[in-house]
Amino acid sequence: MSKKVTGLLPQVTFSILFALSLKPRHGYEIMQQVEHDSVGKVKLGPGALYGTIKQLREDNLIEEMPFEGNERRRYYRLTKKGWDTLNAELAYFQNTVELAQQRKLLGGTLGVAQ
Amino acid sequence: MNKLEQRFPRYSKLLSLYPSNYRQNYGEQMLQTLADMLDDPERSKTAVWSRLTLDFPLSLLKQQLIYTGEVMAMDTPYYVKRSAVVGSALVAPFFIFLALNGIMHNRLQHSWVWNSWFLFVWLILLPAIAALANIQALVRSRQAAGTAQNKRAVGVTARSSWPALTILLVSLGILGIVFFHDSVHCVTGNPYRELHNWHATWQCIQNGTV
Repeated sequence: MSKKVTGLLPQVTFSILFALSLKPRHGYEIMQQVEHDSVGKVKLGPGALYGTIKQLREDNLIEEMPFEGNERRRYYRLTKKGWDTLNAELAYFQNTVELAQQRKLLGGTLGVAQ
Repeated sequence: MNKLEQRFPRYSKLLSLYPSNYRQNYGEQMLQTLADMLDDPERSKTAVWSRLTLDFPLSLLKQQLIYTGEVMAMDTPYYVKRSAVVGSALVAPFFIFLALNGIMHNRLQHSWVWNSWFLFVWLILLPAIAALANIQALVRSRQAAGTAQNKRAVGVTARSSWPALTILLVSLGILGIVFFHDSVHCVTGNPYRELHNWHATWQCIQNGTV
């Protein structure tokens, strides 16, 4: 069951797509990369991780690669739709950061700059 | 039993609580990920188990809700859905009048809801019809389950009959409220105020009045 993904992605969904942008990974590698990228702010357990992976597969944003060797280590990669969704999300963040810079909100000046 | 199941026998058993489709697709991978987490020297084992303590019930609840939603949407027999809709339409007036009463009156026994026609039609006749319609749906659902070839199919059919069961219970609950209204008005008149003053509410339940 595939549905259209619109709007901003939930934090965990974005983090997993972002983690898979470097290379295909299996579950634990995704978990490690997500923790690394979020500086430890996003911590996943197996249930949350595979629940999100299931949803991402149903939305056709990621796919499972044909497995080699250990069948418990399934590797996942982004689909074309997954890349498009991630790029759209990153473009939104980039725009937000540029606006924040224009408004001098970055660099610890929040609440000081008027 | 494979090596990982031998290593985590309790977690393996807990995984069986997930919906079967999810468990078949991700159960082994979840065990492997747990093994990877515990084998990682940079992770504290206590932290891993504490994370699992929160992660397991939340994800279990989420997957069961998703599964139930999918069953309701796709596997619920038409006659169960029809009975649930008809039953909801029949019992809804009770809650509408109860809410209106809460807004317009302090106590249920002072309300225009306690008019014999309302009592008969909205509180007894309609919930009774809703209950009967859902008993019929429930019987048909159980008959269909009885002809199923395996236990899993029986389970799915029983699970899909829950909308009818819910309406049936609500209908019986309404009849119960009517039957025990001498006490029930103590908390249904203005639930927030009555529960806030629990001592007076308890006296009301005991004496039938404040």
